[in-house]
Amino acid sequence: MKRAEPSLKNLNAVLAAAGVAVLLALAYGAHVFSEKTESLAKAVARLAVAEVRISGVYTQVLEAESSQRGYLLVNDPNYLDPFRAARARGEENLAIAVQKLGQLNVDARGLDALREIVSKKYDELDKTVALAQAGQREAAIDIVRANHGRELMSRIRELTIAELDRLATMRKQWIVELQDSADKMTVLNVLGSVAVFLLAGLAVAQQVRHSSALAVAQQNLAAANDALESRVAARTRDLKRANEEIQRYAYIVSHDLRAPLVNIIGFARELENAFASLKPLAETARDEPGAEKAIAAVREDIPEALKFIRSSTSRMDALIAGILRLSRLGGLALQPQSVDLDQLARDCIATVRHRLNGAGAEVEVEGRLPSVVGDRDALSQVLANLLDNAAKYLSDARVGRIVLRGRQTTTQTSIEVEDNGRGVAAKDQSRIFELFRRAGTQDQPGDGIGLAHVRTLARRMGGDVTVRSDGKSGSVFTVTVASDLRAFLNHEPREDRNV
Amino acid sequence: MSDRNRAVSIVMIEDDEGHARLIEKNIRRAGVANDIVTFANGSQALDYLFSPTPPRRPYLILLDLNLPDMTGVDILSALKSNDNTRRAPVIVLTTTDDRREVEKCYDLGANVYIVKPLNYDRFANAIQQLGLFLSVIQVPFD
Repeated sequence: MKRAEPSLKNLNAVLAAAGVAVLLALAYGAHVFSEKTESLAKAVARLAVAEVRISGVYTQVLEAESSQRGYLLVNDPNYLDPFRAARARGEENLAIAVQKLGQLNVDARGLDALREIVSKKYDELDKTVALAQAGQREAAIDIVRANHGRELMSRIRELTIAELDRLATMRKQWIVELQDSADKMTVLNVLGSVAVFLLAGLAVAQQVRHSSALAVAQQNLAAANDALESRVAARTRDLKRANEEIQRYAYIVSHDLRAPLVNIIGFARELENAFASLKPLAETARDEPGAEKAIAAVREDIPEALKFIRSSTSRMDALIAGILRLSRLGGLALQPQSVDLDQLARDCIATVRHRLNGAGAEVEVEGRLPSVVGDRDALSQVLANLLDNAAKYLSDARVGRIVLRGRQTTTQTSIEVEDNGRGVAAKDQSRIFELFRRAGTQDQPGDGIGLAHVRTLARRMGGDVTVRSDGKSGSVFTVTVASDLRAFLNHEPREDRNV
Repeated sequence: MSDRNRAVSIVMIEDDEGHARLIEKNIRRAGVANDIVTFANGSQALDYLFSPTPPRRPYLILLDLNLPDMTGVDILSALKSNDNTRRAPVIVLTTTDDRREVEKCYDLGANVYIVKPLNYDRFANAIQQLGLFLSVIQVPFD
């Protein structure tokens, strides 16, 4: 199973980074050009103001001169009204123009020259007007005639025109720049829009690719899951089949072993019966020659042989019965039902009571045992076996005491059967759950089936059985089963068992 | 034992020679003197029972379920679907004590199902009682 392609992830990151960089660059460019455009527009406006003011200066000088001429011509003081205001207004205009140029860092020395000449012109005008007001009109007109004023005037015109030309050139230059900057800004805006559009497109395409890759990956994952599930199911089936085969095998073997055993037992008995009728005859033949040997055979050899045949066959019979029972247990259909373990344990205790009383042992249920959904018979066999074992292997050194206690979670329920008996040595603790294996002093009857039985049943009910013991002072057998056998059985695939 | 019953032939289908002998011995001990014909496999037994040539006699069949060539259940259904043997009492005498197997045999028309006890005393006792039973039951004549 591959994970999401790393190249795809990297490409996405690179694209995103590139997009951000381009957008930042475009935004910065737009900002720069818009600043420039704005400052150029302001400059052009200021320059225009300066130009207007400079023209104003010239106009006022003209106005003052024509006012002076009128006054000198008709000697009417009313003509002097514009003249009186002109000089101040001209100064003001010039000051504003200088200020504007100053703000624009434009050379204003041309205006200094203009101011000087304009000032001279006004001095000349003031002088003539003053003379005329003092009654010396002729002298004033003479001054005018001297053409000094006209020269000043033409100088003013030249300077004004030169200055205006210079500023107009500058303004045109700036307007060109302004146009240029505005154009660039437009271009950048267009570029920005295009870039945003492209990036959005790319991002969408990338997202689409990504999603489809994801979908494919999901499909693969689902397919892999399916494959895994079916593999697990197949393995479980195989395992179940193997398990069933073993059970069937055990069943067949025990069956087939049983048939000859029946013959051995049967004919041994026949032999015994036949021998019983033969025996008195042999005894009566005591005096016949060679009778000693026959009598020895009749008295010892044959009964001994028959005794061993009988004990061995009954042992073999028990073993086969054990295997048969175990194979049956493995195949037995469990019947889940609600079982009160507390009541069940008390019933089981009652069945081993005689043995306990005989041993002078006591048994106690600590607290209340939980209830489960389980197979009543199987649970009962498990508990009875554990109790029986505990009662069987008590220690001679102390008064027997057996304690049962339970613990339950939502999935598992465990019952502990604790005794203070002789315990199980560490080396025997796994062996005792095997078929026909017994541990410790063999002073009790038994065929080594009980615990194998318990283990088979516990495992079939979704649990197991374990033992804790120091090998001296007792042992604790803990059997665990599924709290809900029905859920456990539904969880594993079932196949018909027919052993 | 009536004369009619004396004519009944006991057909034992049992693959284990020893078992067959022990069964026969114990039946005899119960005082049953009828013919006992033993077959070690199913097909020979069926050939014998279905054959039209031998003189027609009433049969009583003792059947073991674990046979080498065919299962006792197959033999049972063959017996019960053949006109010669349809009415013949069938006593299943086997080691199998599986509940389903028992049910199946009765479903197929077995008349008695006996599990061979492993303990020989009980085995002998059971067979002898069966012998007593055989001596009193009525077997249909065709």
